[in-house]
Amino acid sequence: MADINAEYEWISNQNLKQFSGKWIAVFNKKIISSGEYAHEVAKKAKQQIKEPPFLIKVPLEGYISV
Amino acid sequence: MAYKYNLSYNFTKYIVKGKTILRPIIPVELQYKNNDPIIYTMLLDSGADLTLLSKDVADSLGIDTNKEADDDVYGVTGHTPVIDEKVKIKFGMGSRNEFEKEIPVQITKIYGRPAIPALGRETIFREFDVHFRMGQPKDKQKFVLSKL
Repeated sequence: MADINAEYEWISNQNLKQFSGKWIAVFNKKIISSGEYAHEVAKKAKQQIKEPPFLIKVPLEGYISV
Repeated sequence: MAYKYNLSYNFTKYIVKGKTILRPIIPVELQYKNNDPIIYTMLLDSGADLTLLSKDVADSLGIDTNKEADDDVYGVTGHTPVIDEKVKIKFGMGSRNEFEKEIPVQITKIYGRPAIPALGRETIFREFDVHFRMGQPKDKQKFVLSKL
């Protein structure tokens, strides 16, 4: 499994404004799918990777910072 | 008091109307029965009795969200019907001390509500003493789950 804390730290330093209010799936420091609903984003992510996908809801402001 | 172990997390910062808000958010793995697990970020919500998932999050775990509601939950903006289920939760991944347990969850029948999955008191506070260190200098602002 990828280092989830490192993944979260990485995504926290990205400009996510284009994903405001959406779900994103992150794997190996890449956003591999995005969308309005978690189940759709998870499905698209699972088609690309064998490991459990990591889903994050991007706040409307578009920024996460840890 | 001696704790079995501590899990320490940075707060997630949000800028709301120009002000920085600190939210206690942690990555957790959720699994329903033997379905594929998914990792979500969840809000440690000391104001929620139980753990609450939205319909789309529950759908992603393979839970049947079309069945009849078991209960109603009440919040500051009113009440909504929920389904009662159990999922396996895991967190602390990557540390020496992973926590894993099957927990009761409540699932709304609404997409996107709650916006972020919420970890309620009954899930966390019976297992951990929780310390919110928001009043510390910036480099020491953390929240710590101390295992009882």
